[in-house]
Amino acid sequence: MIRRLNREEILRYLGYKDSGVTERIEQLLNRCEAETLKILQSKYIYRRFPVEKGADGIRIPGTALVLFGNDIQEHLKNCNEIFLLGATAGIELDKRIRRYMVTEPDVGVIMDSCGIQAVEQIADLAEKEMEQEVSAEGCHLTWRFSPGYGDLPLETQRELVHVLDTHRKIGVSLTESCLMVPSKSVTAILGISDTKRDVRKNKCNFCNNRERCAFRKRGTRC
Amino acid sequence: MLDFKNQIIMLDGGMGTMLQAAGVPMGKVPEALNVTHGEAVIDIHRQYIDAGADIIYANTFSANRYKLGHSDYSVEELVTAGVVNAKKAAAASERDVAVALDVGPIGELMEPNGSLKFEDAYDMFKEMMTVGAKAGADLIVIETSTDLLEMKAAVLAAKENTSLPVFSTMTFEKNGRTFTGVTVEAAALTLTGLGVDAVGINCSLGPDDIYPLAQKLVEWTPLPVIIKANAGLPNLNSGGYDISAGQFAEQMDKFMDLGVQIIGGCCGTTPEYIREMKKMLSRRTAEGKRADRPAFVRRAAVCSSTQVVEIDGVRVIGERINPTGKKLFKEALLNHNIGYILTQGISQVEAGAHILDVNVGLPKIDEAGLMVEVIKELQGVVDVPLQIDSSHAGVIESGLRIYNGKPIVNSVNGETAVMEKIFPLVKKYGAAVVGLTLDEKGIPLLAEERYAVAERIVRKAESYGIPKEDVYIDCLTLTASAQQKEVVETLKAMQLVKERLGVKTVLGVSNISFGLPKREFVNVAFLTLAMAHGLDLPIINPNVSAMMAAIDSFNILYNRDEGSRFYVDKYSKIVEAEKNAQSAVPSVKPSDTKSLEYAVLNGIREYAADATRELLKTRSAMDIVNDILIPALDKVGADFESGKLFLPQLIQSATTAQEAFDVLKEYMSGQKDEGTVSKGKVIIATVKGDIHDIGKNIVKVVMENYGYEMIDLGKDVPIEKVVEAVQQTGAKLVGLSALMTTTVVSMEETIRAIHEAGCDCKIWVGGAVLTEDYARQIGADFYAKDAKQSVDIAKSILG
Repeated sequence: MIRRLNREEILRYLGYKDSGVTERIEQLLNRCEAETLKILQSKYIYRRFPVEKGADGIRIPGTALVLFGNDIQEHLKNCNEIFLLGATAGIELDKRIRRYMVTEPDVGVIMDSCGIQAVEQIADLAEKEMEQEVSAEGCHLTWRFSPGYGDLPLETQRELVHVLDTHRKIGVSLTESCLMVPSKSVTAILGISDTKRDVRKNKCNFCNNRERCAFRKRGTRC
Repeated sequence: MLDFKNQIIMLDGGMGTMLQAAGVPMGKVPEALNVTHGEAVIDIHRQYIDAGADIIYANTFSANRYKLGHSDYSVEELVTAGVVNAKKAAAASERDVAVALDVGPIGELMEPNGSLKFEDAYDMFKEMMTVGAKAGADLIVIETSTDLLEMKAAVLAAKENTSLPVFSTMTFEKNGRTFTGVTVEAAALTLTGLGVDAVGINCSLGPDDIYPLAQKLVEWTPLPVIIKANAGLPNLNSGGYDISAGQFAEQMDKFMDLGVQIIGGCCGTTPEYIREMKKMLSRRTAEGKRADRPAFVRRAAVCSSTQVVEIDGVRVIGERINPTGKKLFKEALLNHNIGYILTQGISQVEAGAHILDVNVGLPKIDEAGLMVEVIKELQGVVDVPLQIDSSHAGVIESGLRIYNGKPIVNSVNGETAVMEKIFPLVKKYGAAVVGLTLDEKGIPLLAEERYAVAERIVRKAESYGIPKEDVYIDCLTLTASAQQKEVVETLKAMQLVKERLGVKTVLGVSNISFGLPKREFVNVAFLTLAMAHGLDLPIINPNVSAMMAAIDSFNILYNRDEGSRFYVDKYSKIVEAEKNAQSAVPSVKPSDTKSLEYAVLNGIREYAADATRELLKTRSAMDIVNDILIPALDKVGADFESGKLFLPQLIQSATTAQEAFDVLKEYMSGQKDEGTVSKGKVIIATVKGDIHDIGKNIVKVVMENYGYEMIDLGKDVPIEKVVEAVQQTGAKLVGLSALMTTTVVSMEETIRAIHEAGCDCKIWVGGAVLTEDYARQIGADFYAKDAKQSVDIAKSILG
């Protein structure tokens, strides 16, 4: 259960830097946060798999999923197992944002940011469960690496959602161009390793968008 | 072969579960096993038949074109092999065993949530179904659906292309809704209307959790009900399920008392579960327990996929989506301004409308295309059911086809030719219908005569298999100033229709006062009288609070609003809000010429309209735009750029300016030759393949308020449509948005197509992964990082 959203994060998504939040905006933020929490349909699914590292990529035995690229190799360098994760804030949020973009677009963009924050928290909840599972074995998790980061192709999504059966299990599917529906959804790959979390590097280093990132220009991250 | 009346039909259990247990290699598509490991598949069927299954599902669940897209097999190969394997197993049995073509979801979400189009889904289902029928399937099962519109596409594909019986089962969560929000009641109403042979629930939950949903289902459909539950709840990591075959059968036992007739197992169940259920059935027989379904009471109800409206009291149909007599609405239709139409819809729902009438008829307009688009878009933002209003059968059918739920058709009348054209559509798509009490000879004057027409309509509807609960009779309002004597005949006729035919009544109310001053007074009085004479569905403008108040009061006076709870709750909130509004008046007075500027700078939307009206007394509309609105917006833009303001504030200022522009536009549409506040047309679109349109919408809102006439083509816009729009409108500036690297590709193709068509326009682009360089590379003239820069570009091109 998510009881509240992280206000600072929401403001950051909205491009807020350091100017004071006016009372009007404050009221809107309260309203949007309450509404988001009310209509949230939190769902997540994760599954644990061993991995086979080959010269051309990392294979997940028993599935057709292969992870290509140097960045995921590096990310999973200390790992023989992974979790695949899918999480979503649900479809009602998309509908609500669409409606507000027609009637009150200021509320619409705030709801959008609330939705992004919410799905991050849902993924955090799932991560906490996975963390518990592996820490009992004396292991640790890497951070959440998603298709499209670095040189891991966005198309990896196709097999990932197929393996997790997200359409059936949590209601998440892809469009032809690999966009997730509901839009406030995430997928990720988390490595399981027996060393401490020192492999965790700044995720901006992996990001294809780092040169043009609006967040980085403002001196923050997404 | 399938006798629903006298026996329980046993289905099979899980296929995936059994395949995994058989140890066959699970590749990308489990249906490939039909070809590579046919014997293993046949053996599983055989086990289910031995356990007692009367119908077995062929292994064809996901053998659709979308899911096979990246595999080495065709739909024809895998579906045919799947059906043939099942038939082999069935043929080897001594009992009569039927083979079902099993059809699961496409795997992509439909518009407006995703980008899958109704027609494309239909085609993919059609392909599976024609192949399955040809291969010899005995029936079609469409299952595990979470989207009612996708289910509808599949049902239509089955019924229009095969003559096989159709079973349809959807997958719900504990809260009684599917992932896309479909309720059990809405699914029951819609699928019953579409004429499937049996309807039910499968997957996701175990029997105990499905039970309360099944209780609802039997109340909302007269059809045989199917329950195919999971073996309890799954362990997401191990893939196992938590209840045994014995427990499963025990839990299924009580469904028999609900009159459920078709049972089986879904994920996690095995032949053992079917065998245990067979034992349960013979125990019941031995104990003399019968499976009697409670008598079915048909309800008058319509729905969207997420909301059922039962007509068991006064239900308001909002009349505002209709161009008749509305200049701005006509303009919006001609300019394809869907946003305006959506606003009209949303504001009526917020004012309390239960159903929205949708009429987009104008001469020389593609009414069918627009009807489809408006229904799709409206269903993407509101939950209420819609009433499809047109005088053309073709438009009505186009709307009926893609409507998600059970709509109302407006309308038929007593003319035989009209009824013969419209009733088959109403029946086929399972809608409700409005029947007007007029015919070839016009509107009869006397109540008895109108009753006679109503009776004819209801009888004729019944001859098409449309139950009278789905016919809403309109006794037609006459104008008091022209036919004063006959006003009361409408009321009398309505009473007769209610009493003698027992059908629901509908009435457009506001015509009564045409030509009179202070029409609202007469409208409220007539509405109140009409409700007292049995009106169920007033068609009104719900934004007129006196009309809604009349209904709310009626519900108190007729003891429908028990304890006046609804009334007290609604109106005490209104009193409270009025108090707050008085104390929250901003400190700047409307007479202050600076006030509009103040409102825009601070984003005080509720204040802008009055301030603009005040200004119009002394200044021209163009002056207000150029001297006040634009400079104020420029200042906001500059503050946004320098980081003093952030995005919501920029938008608030823009929407405040929007209020001012609305007043100016309305004012100028009443003036002969003051020209226009438009600074030129700009086309804007989120490119093909991309459904993330929030950025595009922000840019649109902001630019609109600089006076640019924004032609918004929406999201996932086909390349041809952009080119066509540029050619038709002659717009000199086109904005394209794309979020992902995958969709920048179609952005590039769109730009190329615009250039190849020889259009004389500039193109600017925006989106998360674009840069100045990247934009040039793909052929764009400009790159804008945000809404503010987009305005700067427009200024440089259009002034």
